Amino acid sequence: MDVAFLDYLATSRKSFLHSFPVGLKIIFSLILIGTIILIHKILFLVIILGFLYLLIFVSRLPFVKILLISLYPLIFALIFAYASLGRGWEWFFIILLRVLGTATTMILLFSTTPYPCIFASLGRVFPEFLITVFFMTYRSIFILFSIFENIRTGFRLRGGIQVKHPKRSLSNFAKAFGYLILKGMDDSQRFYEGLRLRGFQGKIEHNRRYCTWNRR
Amino acid sequence: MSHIHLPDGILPVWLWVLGWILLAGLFFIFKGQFQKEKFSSKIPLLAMFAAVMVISMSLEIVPLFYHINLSVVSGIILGPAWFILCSFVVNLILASFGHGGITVVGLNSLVISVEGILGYFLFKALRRILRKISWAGFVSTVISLLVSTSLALGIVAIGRIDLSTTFGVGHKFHQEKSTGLLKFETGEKETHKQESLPQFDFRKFLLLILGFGSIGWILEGLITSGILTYLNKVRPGILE
Repeated sequence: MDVAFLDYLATSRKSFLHSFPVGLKIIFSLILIGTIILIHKILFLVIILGFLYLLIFVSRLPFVKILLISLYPLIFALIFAYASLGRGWEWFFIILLRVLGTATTMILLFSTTPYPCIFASLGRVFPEFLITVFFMTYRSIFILFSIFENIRTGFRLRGGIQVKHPKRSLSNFAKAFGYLILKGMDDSQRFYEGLRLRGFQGKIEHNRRYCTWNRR
Repeated sequence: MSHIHLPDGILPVWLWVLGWILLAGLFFIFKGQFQKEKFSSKIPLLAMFAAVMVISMSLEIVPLFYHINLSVVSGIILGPAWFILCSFVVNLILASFGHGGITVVGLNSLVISVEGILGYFLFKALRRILRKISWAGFVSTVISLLVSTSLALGIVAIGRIDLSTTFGVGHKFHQEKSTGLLKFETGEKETHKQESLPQFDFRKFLLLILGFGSIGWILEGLITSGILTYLNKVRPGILE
């Protein structure tokens, strides 16, 4: 699960980029994405990508793992790039490099900045109510992820996905997700009751000071 | 798969900005409902469904270029207004690891919102007509995915339109030199070097998306139908 892995990298590693102010990192990432969008030269895109890879090394992040995550969006981009072959191979590579560039920028941002810090910074632009939703979703992902791991074991014990038995496989898959949804709903209800008990007023307070230079 | 897995920089700026504006408009429309229910258990429920959708969208069926969305199930349980918010949260989190560009989050949220909202209304209607949750779930999911994928494809098609030529301010508008009433002709025909910009092969793109997508829709329809049947069996009344 990429979200969990990126969160682990953001919270467990220490580097210059990890302790860089969050607001500046977000602005820098947006400028970089804007540049990648506007550039039409392969060479410049390669240079930017090289710069991003350098930052990955400097930040002491696992290069191969990050590279693999950034390759994921290429699966879909390939369809678009293939359909755009009429514009020539240059355009084909520009599309792929843009995907790699923007994906790597986002991954670099989230692997050096904990999600709560990003959400707290976004609180200056988005309404507080929305930030609360982001925080809760972030927390829910990890709760569901642990449930999902257990379900996966149960799913395998029930036969998992078998090509010879597609009906049974689909039924198992649907039941696994049905159970995940039910467990999720129960947990969300329990979570809500806990929040109300602690005086939840539709807003979760967060400490922006945690996400500054002196954090570590 | 119904949402646009396009990277940043492919669609024109006016289009993705329009996506963000439309999404903001939807939030503004439902602002009252969000304010009214912000202390309710809807927020943790929304967060949980957003998490379920993020997990399901992270599970790639690589040979099919497909992942399940579970947007119809989420739409049915959350209801239209809260589902719009849910789809925005999901798309923003997915963009954090490169699953869809950050600029197209607005458009993607709109496409997924259409999917969930349509699924909600279709399921409510078909449940009464077909009287079987499994069939109602399957049909409403397949139709919703068909419509939302068509919308996503429509957005890609619109993205090919150059606004400068559409509104007649671009190069094409001046291709034919006007001779005017007095016919002061120079004899030299001004030749305009027409830029030859080979087109993006939309038919090829359409065939690939619909080809892979149609298998995915049936698969997702079956899974959604199974989930809804399971939910109704284990906790009757949850789908009311």
